[in-house]
Amino acid sequence: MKIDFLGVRFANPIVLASGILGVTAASLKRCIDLGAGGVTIKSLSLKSRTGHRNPTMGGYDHFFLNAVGLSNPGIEAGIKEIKKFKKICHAPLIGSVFAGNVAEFGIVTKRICSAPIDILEIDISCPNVGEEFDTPFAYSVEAAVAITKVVKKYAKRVPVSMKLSPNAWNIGAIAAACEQAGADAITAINTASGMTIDSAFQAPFLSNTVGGVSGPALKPIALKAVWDVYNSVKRIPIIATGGVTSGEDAAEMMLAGGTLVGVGSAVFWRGPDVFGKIVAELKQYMKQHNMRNVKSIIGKAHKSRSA
Amino acid sequence: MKPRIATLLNIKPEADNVVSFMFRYSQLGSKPGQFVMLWLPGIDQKPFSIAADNGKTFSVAVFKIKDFTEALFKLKPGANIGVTGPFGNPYTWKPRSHVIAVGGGYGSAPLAYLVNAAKVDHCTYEVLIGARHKKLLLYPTRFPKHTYLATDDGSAGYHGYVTALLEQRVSVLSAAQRKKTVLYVCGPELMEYAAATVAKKYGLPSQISIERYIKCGFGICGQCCVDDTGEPMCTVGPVISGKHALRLSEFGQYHRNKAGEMIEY
Repeated sequence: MKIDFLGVRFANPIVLASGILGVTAASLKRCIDLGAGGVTIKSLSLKSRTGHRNPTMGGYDHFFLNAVGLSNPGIEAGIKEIKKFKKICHAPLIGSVFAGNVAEFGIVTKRICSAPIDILEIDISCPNVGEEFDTPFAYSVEAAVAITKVVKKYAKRVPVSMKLSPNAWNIGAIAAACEQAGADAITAINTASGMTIDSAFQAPFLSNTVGGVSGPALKPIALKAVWDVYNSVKRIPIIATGGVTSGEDAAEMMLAGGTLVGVGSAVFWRGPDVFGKIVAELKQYMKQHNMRNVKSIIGKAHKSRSA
Repeated sequence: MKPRIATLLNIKPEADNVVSFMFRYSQLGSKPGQFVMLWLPGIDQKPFSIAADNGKTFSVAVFKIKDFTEALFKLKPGANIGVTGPFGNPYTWKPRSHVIAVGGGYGSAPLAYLVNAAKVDHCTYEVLIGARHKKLLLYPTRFPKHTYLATDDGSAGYHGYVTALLEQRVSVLSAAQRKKTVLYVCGPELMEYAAATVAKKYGLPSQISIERYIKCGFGICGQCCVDDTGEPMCTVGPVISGKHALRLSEFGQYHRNKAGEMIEY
């Protein structure tokens, strides 16, 4: 199940998506112990943030909804956790940062790239901080390009993956523009904007009113986004994320064009050992379909279409 | 997991700034040591240890801190709140065992629930309650003849820490009694650390309720994960064994706040 991604060797293609569990070195390592091939740290910003008031999360039959508000201990405390992770675990670590403007993206990128991260994910697509940061950068080609250029300037040796949003109608064009601007990979997708209203209390459930939808309900949207990105970019690989809860889901994401597959809120339905379960199911899938190399799944559904 | 409506039935002052809230709520199905998330729409949602649950009502003992608890303290009987849960790993006991419950501050709340449940299973019990001052003692008269008090200032009961009182009590147990004794602990972490150390010294099993900043309450967000195991305390805990607690490098040392920053004890 080993797979290379931007020159980094992953034990398997299943990676912890940013924002779930991954606040500390120990919790990231636990995901590796439970089967993940790599982990993404919860996004860090220049200063610490407490995030939104509760409720920040709700789990339902077919979807998960969150608006945590990008809480994090700040880049310096985050760097300490990254260094600690690399002391206790050899698995690949994907760093993740966000910022309120282009210049600040450069600063946090420079800081996090001084830490031993293997890949850097740039979160330009959080749908839950609109009041504070205005429209996510991932909704506009110009903004995505400007940020890609600045983070590439400061990331130096570290490959960069731009995390895009399904809320943009033109995710394929945005991905292609990021590639042109120097992005090394695309993470597709972040959560989709959504909300729940509590019928008994006749009020929005989240304190932030609106949040991001993940879980099974997001999967068809994620598949289409990955499909579009795969068709739009020339060379760069995709971290396919959104609604994956089983090995079959992971296979579908890879068939659509994902090289790595992000898993996050699946923990809600299948427990923290979901990573190992998905890896085992993906192996089973490959066996059933006589596939020896996990790489042979990537983008395969596109070939069947043109044949 | 949609919140269900609970209706406030009764408010009872217990100690300085501590009030018991009893809610009408059928079939919570909780076990001692578990917690619920209480939601006041537009204000906040916070975790609370369950202090009692009889299938028709449940209670929590609330210490007034800030916005959310201040809003709770303003509620009148008949008010509705949202409840999710119960969540977390509970206390466990064997029938006919000897329960020593050690509560500090408002930690007596889940322990009272535990003692009442263990009594049904013919357990013997003693309740040790500590606070800085007698006005801060929670449930000092709930279990008459079985309760031992400790105050830092000597205003009631033993003059000193409840964990020193615990060591006194444990040291006089007969060998036969020790074999069936389990310590159950809930309180400020440094007190819990001292209690776990007493348990270890006397070779007694202990169960400790660990408090960490909880956001989701069901093991997703990672906010309450502890070093160095990375286990979320909202699902693996709040109740873990004293041995387990003493293996956690952060137990009695530090915790993380809402942003995830380390705060030393």
